[in-house]
Amino acid sequence: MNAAARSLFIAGAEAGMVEDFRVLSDATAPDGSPRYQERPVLTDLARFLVRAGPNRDMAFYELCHLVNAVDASDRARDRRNAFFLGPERASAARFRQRLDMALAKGGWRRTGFSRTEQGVAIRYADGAFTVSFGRMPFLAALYEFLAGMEDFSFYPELQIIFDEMAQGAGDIKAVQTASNRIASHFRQYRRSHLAPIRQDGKFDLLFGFLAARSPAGRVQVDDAAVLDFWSEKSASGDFRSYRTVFEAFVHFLRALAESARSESMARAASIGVDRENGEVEPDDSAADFDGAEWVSPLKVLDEEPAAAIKFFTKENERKPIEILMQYGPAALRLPLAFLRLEAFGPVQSAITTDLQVGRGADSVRLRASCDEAAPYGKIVAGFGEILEIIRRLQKAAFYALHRNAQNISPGVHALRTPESAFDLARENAADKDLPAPQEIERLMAESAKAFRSISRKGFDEAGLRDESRIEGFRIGAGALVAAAAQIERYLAAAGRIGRGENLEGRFHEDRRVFSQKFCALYEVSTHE
Amino acid sequence: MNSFEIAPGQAARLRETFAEIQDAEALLWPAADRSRRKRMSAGMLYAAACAGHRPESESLGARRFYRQAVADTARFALPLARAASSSLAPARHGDGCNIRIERSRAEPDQYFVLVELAKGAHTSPTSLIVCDAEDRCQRFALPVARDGISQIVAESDSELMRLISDPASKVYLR
Repeated sequence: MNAAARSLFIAGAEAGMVEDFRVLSDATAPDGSPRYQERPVLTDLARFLVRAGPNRDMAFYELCHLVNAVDASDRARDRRNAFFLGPERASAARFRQRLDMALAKGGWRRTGFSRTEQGVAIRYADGAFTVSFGRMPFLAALYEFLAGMEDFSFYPELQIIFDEMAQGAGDIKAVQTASNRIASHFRQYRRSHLAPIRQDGKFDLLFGFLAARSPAGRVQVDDAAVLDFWSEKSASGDFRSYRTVFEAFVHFLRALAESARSESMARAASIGVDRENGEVEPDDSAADFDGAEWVSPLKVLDEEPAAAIKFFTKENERKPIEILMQYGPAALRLPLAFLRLEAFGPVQSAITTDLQVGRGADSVRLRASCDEAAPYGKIVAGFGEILEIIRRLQKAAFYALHRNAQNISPGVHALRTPESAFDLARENAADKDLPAPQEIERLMAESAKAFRSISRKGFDEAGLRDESRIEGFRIGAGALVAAAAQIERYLAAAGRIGRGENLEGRFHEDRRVFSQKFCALYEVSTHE
Repeated sequence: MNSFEIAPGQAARLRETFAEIQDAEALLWPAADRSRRKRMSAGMLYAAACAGHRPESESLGARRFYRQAVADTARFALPLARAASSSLAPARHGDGCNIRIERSRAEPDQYFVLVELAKGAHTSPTSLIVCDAEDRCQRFALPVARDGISQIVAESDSELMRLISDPASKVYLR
């Protein structure tokens, strides 16, 4: 979605869904960190809120079961808000703790409930349901959204719905009724806030374009399609920006993957609660609409306790890989289209800014020449340089994780390089056969040297006595592995671009194409 | 090359999923204009109510939610005033707690707001929260009770007297 469409979306839904959602995404825990993780909690919530297809109301049903359990665990007047809206960061561990604290005051107030290792199991007269702790942060975000939406106007009715559900809560039908009542109200909300701004036309343009250049019964998506689509459709408002087109293709690929997955799931089993009829209950994966959805490793590093460690410098190390990490596997599927985005996306953004602030035609003309675009070779080489930095950070993290260990047995058996040792150590893998002591010694010396050579926040020996710091390194370690793998895969994909044609030749040709297009779009000529 | 088979009828589901992804991304996209007045989430209002903080200039809906959270977490609730027992402020009677207002004999412009707890109350409340008919709530610190009575001295034109004298206001003790 381009900036204009986004503005339209936001303007159209102002004080509505966007605003209601923003309130949640801005909410913070007492330590200032976001109350809800962006991924998966907020992304899952966003997908749920705009969902129009099958199972669009399933989460209400899960929420009602959880409210039923909360009501059965505590008698306090504010038990629901205390459970769902407690100020701390919403995490599975936190909800486990809140439930345990409530139960410590007197156990379950009604029969049929049990606290299991994974969550809460509820046995009804006419069925059963389980809510896992892992699902609770999402359900809490949903509860908070419902409580606050439309200036809290639904909150009193929501509480009445839950109160009435509690009166017949030994019966799964009461839960279903409550869920339906919430769903009915929410459908109106969804209709009034979403329908006027939804843009189905985009899909039709994209699908029609791809179908026309693909064999019958198939859709083929490649780098050339992205550029050709932009060249053909950029005159229309929706697809003026190359970035918007690239994102639309990424969303299209995701939609294809999800659609294929839901087709196969539909064949496997329908979601519900009637086990006897072969239906299955949703579990944690129900929140994961996207299967193994990509999470930028940089986002992981932004969260405590990893955030207390400065793994990357902002401008020189983080910024060059930010977009590659944001798009993840999509960048690998469309490697040249991604490279075009990296090189020419900033040029187009700068032109847009020039026009907005009235810098004049000369500035736009200069930018439209694309003389300032970063050559492909330079971008790819930059990724390689960051990969080297990440490998050094991996060694340093290995040292941080094992400095105090009596022996560095976990996973060291598979040690061939410090990086592989690091991978295994991060996972705390069980040890089977240890390498030679000299090998271990060499590795530790190398890792220690790497650690001590980094003079950044968090890379100090004294801090390694802190459990939270070690946990930060452990979490950061996972993110570093993911970041390194993403870069390695992208470098391999970039190596295959053009097969035999050098990247610079491709860049010069693309620069000509983008420059011509920018000149046409912004009505300037580079020859003046 | 990314090549996908499209089964008959799959395009409709694909359109729906595509729209869902685009709309969800738009929700997640951080708005450019962060300078606008920030609204507080239900969780943050609840936290403010628990901590005794007063949220700044929130909407009626938010104030109503906040007042309800105060009510739900209060130890004593004295929602509506009974018949006036003085010319200025009515007495309030709650379960295990009463509030009455007395004029100072020494200072005619001063009043005593007396909070009386029933015998057997284990701990005395530390704050008195008064919410007006529009659910604007104000918190006042309560001195330690002596012989089950805690008292606040208030000027006749004070905010406390204005609020507590209004029969439509609701009073909570925490």
